[in-house]
Amino acid sequence: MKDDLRKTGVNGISNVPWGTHFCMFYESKEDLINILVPYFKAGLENNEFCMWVTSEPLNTEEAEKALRLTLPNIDVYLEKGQLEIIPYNEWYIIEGEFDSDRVLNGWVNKLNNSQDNGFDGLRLTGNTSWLEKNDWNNFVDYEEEVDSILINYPMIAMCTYSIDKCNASEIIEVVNNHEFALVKRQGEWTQFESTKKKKMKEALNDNEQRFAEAKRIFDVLETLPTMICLLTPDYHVKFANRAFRDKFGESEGRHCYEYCFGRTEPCDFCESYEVLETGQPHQWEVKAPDGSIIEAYDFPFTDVDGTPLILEMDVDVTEQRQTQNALKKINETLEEQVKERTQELSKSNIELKRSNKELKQFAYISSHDLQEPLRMVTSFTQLLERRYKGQLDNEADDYIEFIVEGAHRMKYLIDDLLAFSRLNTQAKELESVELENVIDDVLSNLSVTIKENKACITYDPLPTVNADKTQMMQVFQNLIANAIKFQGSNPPKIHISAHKDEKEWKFAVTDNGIGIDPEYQKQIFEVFKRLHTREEYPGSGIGLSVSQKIIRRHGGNIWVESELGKGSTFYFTIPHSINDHPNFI
Amino acid sequence: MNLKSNILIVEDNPGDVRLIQEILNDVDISYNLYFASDGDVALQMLKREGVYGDVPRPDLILLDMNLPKKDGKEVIDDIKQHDRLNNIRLNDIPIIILTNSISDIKNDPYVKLADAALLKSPNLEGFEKIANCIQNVLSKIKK
Repeated sequence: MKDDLRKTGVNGISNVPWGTHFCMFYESKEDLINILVPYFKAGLENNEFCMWVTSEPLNTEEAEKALRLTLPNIDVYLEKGQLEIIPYNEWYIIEGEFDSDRVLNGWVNKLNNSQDNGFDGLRLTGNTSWLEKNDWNNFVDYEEEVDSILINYPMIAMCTYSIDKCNASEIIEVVNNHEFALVKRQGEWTQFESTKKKKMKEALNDNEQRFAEAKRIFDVLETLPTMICLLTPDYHVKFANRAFRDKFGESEGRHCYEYCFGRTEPCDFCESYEVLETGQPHQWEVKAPDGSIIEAYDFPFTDVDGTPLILEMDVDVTEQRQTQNALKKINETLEEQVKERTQELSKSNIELKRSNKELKQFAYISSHDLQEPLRMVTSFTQLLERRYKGQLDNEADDYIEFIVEGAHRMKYLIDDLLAFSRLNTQAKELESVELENVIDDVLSNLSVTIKENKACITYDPLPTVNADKTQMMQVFQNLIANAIKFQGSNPPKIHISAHKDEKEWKFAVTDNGIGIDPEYQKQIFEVFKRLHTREEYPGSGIGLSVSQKIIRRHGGNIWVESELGKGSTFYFTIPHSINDHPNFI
Repeated sequence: MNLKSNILIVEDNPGDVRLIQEILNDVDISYNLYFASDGDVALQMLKREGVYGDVPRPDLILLDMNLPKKDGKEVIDDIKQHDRLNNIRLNDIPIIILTNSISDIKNDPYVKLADAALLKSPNLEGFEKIANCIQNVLSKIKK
């Protein structure tokens, strides 16, 4: 039913919704015309099918004429079939009888037809002057019925009563059967309701509201996925919501122990009824007959009549438990795995340590023990050279030279290997090292080669760092010696700078030498990697890898930036504190 | 009449023995050479035991520290302890230690008991150094 309001057409009466059944008390024909003409005008103009049942003092011709005066296009409506003006004896009284069922059905039919024809609804009026005293009660019953039915249909009905013909009690009866009454008082049309009607309406509203609220709450309970029930002290289920009924079915009046658990007497494990004794909420866990695990929450509850009941909320935690158990199992499995893994790693570690130690020993021993036979080769070759130089032919001289050269290189290689292997075995603890002292020592060690190559070495103020002094010397000596060795066409100019970053010192050794092709800038740090032949530049190729090992041991990094022909800058970092030494061994 | 100096070479490496002989060529002193290839034989010679009854008291001992059986340290120990043995004074015989690497004998207390400790160098300069040292020691004795 539409909620929209329909125009009554009558001044002073608000718009009314469909289903409004009201009455009007007239004194004269003019009253009828004054009210009904605008009433129907409003209806016709709003697409309502209009039916005017007339009786004395207004007949159908007069009604039509009166309507025509305000609606010049009344014929349009008549032709459309939207307006019917008929006398009472073609509607209320047929063959001399008033049959209320016939009339009621008649209205409904008219309404259906009107809707089929595309009209919004039915607006009607019926004059009651034809009523005889003996028909009165019948008619009143009819009005009562109309009043109760009409509210459900898109109909508006105004019943007109001659005020002169009705005595006081009759007027009251009429008013009680209509929503409101239109009465002319001191020349003004006014609207009033009977108090009975008012009270009935209010009570109905109240009831409707309460009912709606109750239904709402009930729907809430029914919709909740949690199972809810009310248990009586004698083990019956007074209420079970849909979730509960879905799980356990309908109680069919059975005791809860039979209904839910299929038992013939109260369950021995039941803890719900403790609530009745303690008056305190109680929570417990139970296994349902279908194997699911239920977490039950019981609360003391007072019924509307004061009876103590148990309000129970049941939550199916089967999945939760399963998940919990599964998680627990996984956890246990993981822990086992972690334990195993740790053991494996531990073993691995021990083996690695042992292997490392052996390797170091091997490197040390090899290089150490290789020195003696090498010394034999070198010594006697030199003696040979000394004693027989010039006495043998040129070939022999060449052979001797190759042997001596080879022996020398072997010695350097072994020396370097020994130094490399000693890096960790002879490594000392870190201490505060003044790098300017280190540089002084290094420059002193390299003084001969610096002088020979006319090298110029400068340095920024250098800090004190946490390091191994000997190893710092090794690094600087290596870098500076390299810078001198790989000089360009100009005498070597080398500068050492230091920059303090948040977590570390960054040092740079810059030269004006031959530079390094970017392609090889990583390679040169590998053990024994050389970029030139021995004729071009001597050296075993181990110096930078030793430097790298030392710097890494201190937790820093070493790298080079260079361009061929434009010199190189070797950078390395030394972290400030022991905590920034991730690799410190 | 110039007596020849007696030099005892305690060295197990035949190559090193030969090298010492070459070095001694550059030393301007005449000498007799006696060879012991391990510490045991060296001590027997010094104490003139057994077959070594006729070995004269050396004027100089050239001692390699790394020997089989009794090594150089034990030899020094023994010598320094035996003040008079079989009527032979041993503890004041000059000893020159020859070693493969400085690090082997660094901080070694036995080194202090010797008169000199030299690196067995493979270079001709190294040979010269050893020759000079031997020359110095022997010259002092002759005086």
